[in-house]
Amino acid sequence: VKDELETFVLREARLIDERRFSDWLALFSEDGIYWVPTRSDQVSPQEALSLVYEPKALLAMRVARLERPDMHVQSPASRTVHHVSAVEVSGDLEVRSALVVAEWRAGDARWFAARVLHRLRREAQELRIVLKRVDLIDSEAPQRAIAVPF
Amino acid sequence: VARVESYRGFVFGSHAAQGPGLAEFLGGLASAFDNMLDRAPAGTVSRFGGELRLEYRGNWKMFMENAVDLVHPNFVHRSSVEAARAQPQALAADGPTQQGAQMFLANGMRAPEWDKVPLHAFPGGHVYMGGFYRSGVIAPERADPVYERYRAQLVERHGAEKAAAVLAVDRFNNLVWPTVSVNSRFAALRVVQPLAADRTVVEVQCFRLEGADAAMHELTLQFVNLAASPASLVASDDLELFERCQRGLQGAASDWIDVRRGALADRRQPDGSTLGSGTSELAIRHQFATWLQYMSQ
Repeated sequence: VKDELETFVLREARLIDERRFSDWLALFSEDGIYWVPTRSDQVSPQEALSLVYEPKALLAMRVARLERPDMHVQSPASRTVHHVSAVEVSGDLEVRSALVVAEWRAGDARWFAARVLHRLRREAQELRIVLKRVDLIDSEAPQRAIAVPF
Repeated sequence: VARVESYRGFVFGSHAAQGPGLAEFLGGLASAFDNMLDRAPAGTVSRFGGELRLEYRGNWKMFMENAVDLVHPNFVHRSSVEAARAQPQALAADGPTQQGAQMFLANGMRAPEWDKVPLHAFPGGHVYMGGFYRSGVIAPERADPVYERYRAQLVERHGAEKAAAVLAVDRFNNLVWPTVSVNSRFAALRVVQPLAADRTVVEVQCFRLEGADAAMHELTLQFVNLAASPASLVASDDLELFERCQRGLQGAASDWIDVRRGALADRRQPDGSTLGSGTSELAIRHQFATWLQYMSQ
């Protein structure tokens, strides 16, 4: 099981780097959520602001936009490497990992570092994301536009 | 800070030892704070939820111009408008209020529709956009249970007539130039912090309308997340365009920008304000006239 879950989160990260955003979206369960809170101790999106809190319906809009040529903040497009490491798996399909994202766009390099929690579920034999939570180490810092998912 | 004053709990500082007092400085825009407080069933608001911070490599004035500019949405926000239009199932799934989807779609209006949103410019560079909800940009009233309950609480506080008047204030961004943009209806404000001529941080804060249900506070958080986060489908394109404008202006191609659009239609009002149509560059002219005045003092 550990291998299977680790393979899943590594592939999930690679789909973003390959800009296969629709395939990435398909990994989310219908009630799946992509969450980037502003505080590492935040337990819900109801108590504080979030950089992103998107149920799949809204995430679908994010992905649809990423595939449009008139998305200015991705013209030119970013190149990213999502480096996933320190993967830990718990019995109830939770995966914890460390994430470093390197991004190169229009002559600028940026770096993000985060702890990531994947809460997964098995649906018809396939693993699906119920929650992907990304805790940036500098989540309260001023950020320039963020376009590519973590 | 040479002087500190507060208006209904909102604290302002001034580095100038001499100058107008806060009430005089706020002028016609004090009403933006009044309306936010009036919208709280208990009559007070409090900061909650922390803050979001955006940064861009551009001049601070661009943020203040953009907040009351209605020419840019159709071009700058095209990708989020089209993404929302292409996802009707997403709209339906967006909770009972469809607040997020509505906001994305609003940017898809054409110039003649935006023109119906009047701009009100006041001395000091302050500007607000009125008629926003009336023009159907974002629904002025909702019929969902959360909103019905909130309206009932407000009627309890103010009586039916005043509650209706409070909710009928249909402005979107209220600029207290040069530093604050207030959104009374969504109980949020943005503070602009210039770091350098070509570097700006904007801090976004939101408020709990005391006396309202938790569901209303959640809508405030959702609105700010979707509209104002650096990862927002809307704000991220604004930030990108600020940086492009900055690079363009630093180039040698032109020394002047024409901001005469709508100038012949400016209408002076008896209270000293000036009224213009939504796609007029009245706000930009007004802000730069104030800037010139401050810089030549």
